[in-house]
Amino acid sequence: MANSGTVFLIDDDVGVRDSLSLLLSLKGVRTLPFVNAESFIETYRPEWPGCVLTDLRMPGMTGLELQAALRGRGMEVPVVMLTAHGDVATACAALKNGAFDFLEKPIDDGLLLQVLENALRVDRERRAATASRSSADARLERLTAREREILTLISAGHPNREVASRLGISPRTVEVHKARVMEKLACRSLAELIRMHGTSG
Amino acid sequence: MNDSSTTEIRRQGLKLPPQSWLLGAGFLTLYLLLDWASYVEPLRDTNITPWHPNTGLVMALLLARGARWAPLVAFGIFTGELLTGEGPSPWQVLAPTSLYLAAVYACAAWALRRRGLDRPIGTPQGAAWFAGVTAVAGGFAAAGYVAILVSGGLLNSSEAWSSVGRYWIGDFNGIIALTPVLLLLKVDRAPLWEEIRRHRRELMLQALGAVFGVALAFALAAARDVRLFYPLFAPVTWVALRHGVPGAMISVSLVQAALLAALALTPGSIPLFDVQFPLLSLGVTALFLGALATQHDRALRQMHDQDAVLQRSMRFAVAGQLASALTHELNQPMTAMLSYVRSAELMTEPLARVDERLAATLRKAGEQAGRAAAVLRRLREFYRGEGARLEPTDALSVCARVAEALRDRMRRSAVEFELRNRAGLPSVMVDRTQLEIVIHNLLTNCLDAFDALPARGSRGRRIELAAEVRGADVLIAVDDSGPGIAPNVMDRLFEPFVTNKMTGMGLGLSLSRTFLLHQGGDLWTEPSRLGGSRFVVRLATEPTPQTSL
Repeated sequence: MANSGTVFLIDDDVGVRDSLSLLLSLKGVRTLPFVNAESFIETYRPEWPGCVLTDLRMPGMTGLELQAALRGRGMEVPVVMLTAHGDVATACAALKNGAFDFLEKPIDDGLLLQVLENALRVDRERRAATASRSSADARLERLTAREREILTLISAGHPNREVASRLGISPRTVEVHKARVMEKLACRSLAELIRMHGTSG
Repeated sequence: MNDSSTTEIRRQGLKLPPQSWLLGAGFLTLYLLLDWASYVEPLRDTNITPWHPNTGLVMALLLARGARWAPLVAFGIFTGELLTGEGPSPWQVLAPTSLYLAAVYACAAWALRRRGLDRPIGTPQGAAWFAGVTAVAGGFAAAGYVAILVSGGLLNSSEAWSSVGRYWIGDFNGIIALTPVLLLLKVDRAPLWEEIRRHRRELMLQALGAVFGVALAFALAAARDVRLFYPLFAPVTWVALRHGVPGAMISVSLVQAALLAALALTPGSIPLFDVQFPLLSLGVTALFLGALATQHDRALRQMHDQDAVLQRSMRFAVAGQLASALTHELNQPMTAMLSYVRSAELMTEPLARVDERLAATLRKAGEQAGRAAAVLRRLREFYRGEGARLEPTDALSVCARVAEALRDRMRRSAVEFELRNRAGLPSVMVDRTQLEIVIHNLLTNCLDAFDALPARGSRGRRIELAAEVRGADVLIAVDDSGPGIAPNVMDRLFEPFVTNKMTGMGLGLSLSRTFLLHQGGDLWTEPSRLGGSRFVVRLATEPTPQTSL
């Protein structure tokens, strides 16, 4: 999983930071340590793939506050909380606010790795979905108004003849428009066309 | 009254347990003995004597066991009149007087039992009711008894008023002196014996004082015809104030017994009737003083008990906070250690063939670190206990109670305390014990700060506690005129193990803040207008979802 994203490790304790990044790097996970939540927020760019592994209780901004700040900025990076203070109420609050997972120190390295792999996978999938959606959107942008009209009607399941009579054009013209839409959207079949129209809503 | 308790009473009425037979027999024996012993200086041709300890016994029985015993009382009175005196009255007089007296005493006992006075007297109110009802009952008993004698032709009507007075004072005195003492038998007597053992020397001195008083009264009466009973008040007052109702009433009965013994030894020196009035005022005074002392003792003891409970729960909470802080502090290095060990395991995988013990050793090191972490977790869970129990609470009354428990300490530290009360505070949703701990902590912090000051300066030592409403919250502020918070601890004031006290652990404020945060409240500090520190407690008036750090 070398190229699948970075674990942004935030902990005020130098021992924990150093040992965890050593362990994770030995397991092949790229890690970027931060001394506190503030410096992470300053440095982080949303386009960086990865997930956050943060201590809950730190001087200054706490793990929960970091989570809220990330959400406030529309950053959807998965956050895994670490605590030396296993406390049910805090765990509930963190998970309710969308934390990816909540782990109690000291952690079993197998469990930690599993959770982090899941978090990275979720981040990867989210990015992939966003990317395919934005490329589909870009392609739909290139359609003319009439072509978009025809695409909507075809996606709704109407046959060519009915589309033609609704729009007051000949079925032959509908065929031509349809072929151009297929070409512009790079679809090979009608089914693919309908699926793409569906995903970009 | 429900059916089951009615049948209960009926069953008891029909079939008396053996103890009741024993009690009845004991009562009759003691009654007749007292009746015989107190048959002194009767009014001519009648059985009207000026001293009735037997009535005290009657009242004690009826008070302790209820009006069901009235028939036995009537029988006792009848037998007593029959056996003592210079010849029995005709039964037409004996029967109605016995029944009448038993009825009057039963009514008095019923009235007192309704007030909860079937137990030893413990308050001045109780003493007042006891003395009042007894005086009235004595009046009724005396008037009725004399009326029956006059109508039976046994007493000249010209002597009626003096007879009523004589009978009344005998009854009243007998009850005041004997009934409270006998009622002591109803409760656990171990503390009484313990008290006697503990104060043996003091009690000897007090008894000596009483003997001296009695001797003085008689010596003066014999030598110079002066009736001086005031010296008796000193030892009895002393006993009453020191030992409450039990001591007071025991000493009154002993003084009565001593006086009567002295009267019996020196016939004719003082008429008994003359002794009765000082004795009566002695009894009533001792009863009231004793009740006051008992009430005061009880209030003090309750205050100390409450303080002890608070101290205990505070120690437990402190231990919990300690465990929690320790877990946090040790879990960090433990996490690092485990991760280093796992890393070392990974790094030494290629070397495993060189020495297989290496991998095993590292695995064991990891296991031991995990074991230590598990111990910490168990420790913390043990002290975590139940969560806070939020209930609507009057925050000011909690503050007042805590301050009251600390009043002695404040006095010792020469601190002036003021509870600036704002009326009309809404009740807050808190765990009462935890709020007590928080307030106790803040107040003792102020007191500790004052105590740490070198000498009593000219500056007034002052603590103020004020409450106000802000939005949906109640704010309680504790201000003091002490030295304030040292700058070097200011930033980390609410962290565990931070303190500037010589003997503190630095858990009080951290604990208090944790409590309040868990209840949707908060604790912070501000500069005080009194010159020292100011801590503000915020409490929610409505239940909030429990939030955490």
